Amino acid sequence: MSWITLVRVIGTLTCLLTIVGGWLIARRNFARLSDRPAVSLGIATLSATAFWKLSAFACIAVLPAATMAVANYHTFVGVHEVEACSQCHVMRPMVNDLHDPNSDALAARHFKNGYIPTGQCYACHSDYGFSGDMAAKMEGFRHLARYTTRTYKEPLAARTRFDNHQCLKCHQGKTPFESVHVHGDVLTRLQSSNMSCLNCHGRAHPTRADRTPGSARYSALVQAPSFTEADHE
Amino acid sequence: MNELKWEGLSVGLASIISLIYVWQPGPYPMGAFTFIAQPLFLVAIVSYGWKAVKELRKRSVL
Repeated sequence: MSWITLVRVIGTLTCLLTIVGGWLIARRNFARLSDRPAVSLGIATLSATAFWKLSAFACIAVLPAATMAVANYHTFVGVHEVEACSQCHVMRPMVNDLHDPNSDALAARHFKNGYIPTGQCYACHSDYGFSGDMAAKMEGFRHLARYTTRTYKEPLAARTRFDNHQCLKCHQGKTPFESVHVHGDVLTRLQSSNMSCLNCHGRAHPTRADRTPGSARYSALVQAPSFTEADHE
Repeated sequence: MNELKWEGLSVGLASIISLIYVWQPGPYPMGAFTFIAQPLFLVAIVSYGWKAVKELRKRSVL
């Protein structure tokens, strides 16, 4: 059984129990339970008051905590998948270009050459998800709020400078990287992200001009991508 | 602890949103889960905890 199936089974179970339990507890008047008959659970018999107070603890404290833990799988782990990124249409130009065999963008070249076996977006933008720091999480929540309230403008522009460690974590120390002498000359600047790898290696994604609504490539770039997650493995 | 009406309804509503998110983890369900369901869960848990502590203090358990 895959993780996603497990999340759905457990999540459905906890949600349904909480919905039913929450409804029953909302209708209960705890002050009038003392004259109700005791509840037999097979292995023990509880007074109606004790039974409903324990049910309230389970439905208002335990099950919601379990539901949050399970549903946050999508928030922190599910977002590593390319399919998750492509669900926001502002990300589609990046995802469609990634799959374009004719594209010479850096991300597309990594994809078609199979340099990154899974989770291609996350591999280079790994400051989100569960392992990301608090600043990255707050930035993610800001993106989510701006997207769902539609308070953004296309083309999107990065607010922060790309951290070169996302490139260096794979390339530094490898023969193809080390054999290029200029890398040694600018390594300090690359490590501090004062110089972008893109200065020499070209753009990572479609240009802002291409991602601007009304441009010649825009309608092709924002089409819903047709792929499955298996295409990225 | 006489009434847990709003706490029960809050967790019920939050669970409906969570159920949608578990099955359809798109941006809008994620936004609803993050900005509506989780705060509702947390408010309900805190309110329930506050009422439980108040009652335990009233009965001199705490």
